[in-house]
Amino acid sequence: MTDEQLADELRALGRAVVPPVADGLTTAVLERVASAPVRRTPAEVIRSKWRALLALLAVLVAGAVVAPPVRAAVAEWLNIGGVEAVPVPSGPTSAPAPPAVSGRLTLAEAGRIAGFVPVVPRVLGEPTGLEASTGFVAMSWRTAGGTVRLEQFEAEPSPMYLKKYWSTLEQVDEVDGYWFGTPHDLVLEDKNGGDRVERVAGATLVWVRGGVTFRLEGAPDKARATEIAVSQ
Amino acid sequence: MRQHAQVAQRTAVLLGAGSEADDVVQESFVKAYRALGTFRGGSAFRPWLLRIVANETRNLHRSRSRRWRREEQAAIPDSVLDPADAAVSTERRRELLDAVQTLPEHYRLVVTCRYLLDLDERETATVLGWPRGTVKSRLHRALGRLRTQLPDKEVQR
Repeated sequence: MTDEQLADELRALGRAVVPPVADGLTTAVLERVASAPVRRTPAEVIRSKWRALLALLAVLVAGAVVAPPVRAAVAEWLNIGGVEAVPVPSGPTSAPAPPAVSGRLTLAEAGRIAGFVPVVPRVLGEPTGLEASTGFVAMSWRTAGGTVRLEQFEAEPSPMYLKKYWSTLEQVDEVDGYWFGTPHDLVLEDKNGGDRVERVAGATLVWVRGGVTFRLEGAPDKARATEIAVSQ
Repeated sequence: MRQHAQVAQRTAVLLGAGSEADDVVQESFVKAYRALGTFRGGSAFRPWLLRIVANETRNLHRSRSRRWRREEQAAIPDSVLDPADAAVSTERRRELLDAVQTLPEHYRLVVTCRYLLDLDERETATVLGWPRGTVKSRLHRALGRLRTQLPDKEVQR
């Protein structure tokens, strides 16, 4: 047996190890980070009891009382569908308007190419551009406020887009999504895990519905973006 | 989150956190949250998180007896092995796992990160906090050691 064969066998073995993640992990972590950092020395002693108490607490409140800013701050661990958000210390201060879509497919054609039925937000009407590739649809509109661009894609096992945001990330409860309020680098991750900065993106709303990730860019503010998102 | 939680859980279990794996993962996420300021933009999030998991597992080992460690590490239970994944037979899995668990500490860590968790060399270096050259050389020696420990597959079947 060569080293390579042994390595392959070990990889296959590793893939077969799928321990269950504890129920309520998210809630427990959020509960703990929502409270002030605890000094470890005396806490060590009562750690087991403290944990039990927190676990109990977590069950009782089931995440309901976790403050929204904390939930948003923890979002860098959330893969929002096919988008992964990572915090960076600083970022671009301005962003160009999102690129308009030049394709002119019909909805039916786009759906056939993408392999899922794309959604058109009612409040925006017919898109002025529409293009598609496997698992991906992009459409745009010319509006009084400039170009609005909506991308829809089926979530991949690994993130397709990486958003390097540096300011706050706000949770948008209406669509269970996130609002990236400031310009940020939009990074495309290739199959080998390499990063490529695609472009600088402006404020964007990201949400997931029915296994499809939506990225809406070019809306003037969060309220309008939310309105567009819920009008599907 | 589920993706990160899953890989964190696998890391804790494979590095030998045993029955404490859930606690190790929870603790790691809390620490990661508090240390977010030290996370450098431009570097990958996953190895950064896994390094915290690896450190937490090591802390756990330090606080426990040698005996606990031996028992818990050996006790990667069959229940965490996906029964639908038949790429490697059950006996062979056991054999491999046992062989890995009995390797000297450094070898066990490097084989676990590089192969069982399928991290690349750079990620392994980050997670273990070693220079890349060290990862390479220890990995090489670890494989050699493993091969001598394992009964030959071809002969066995």
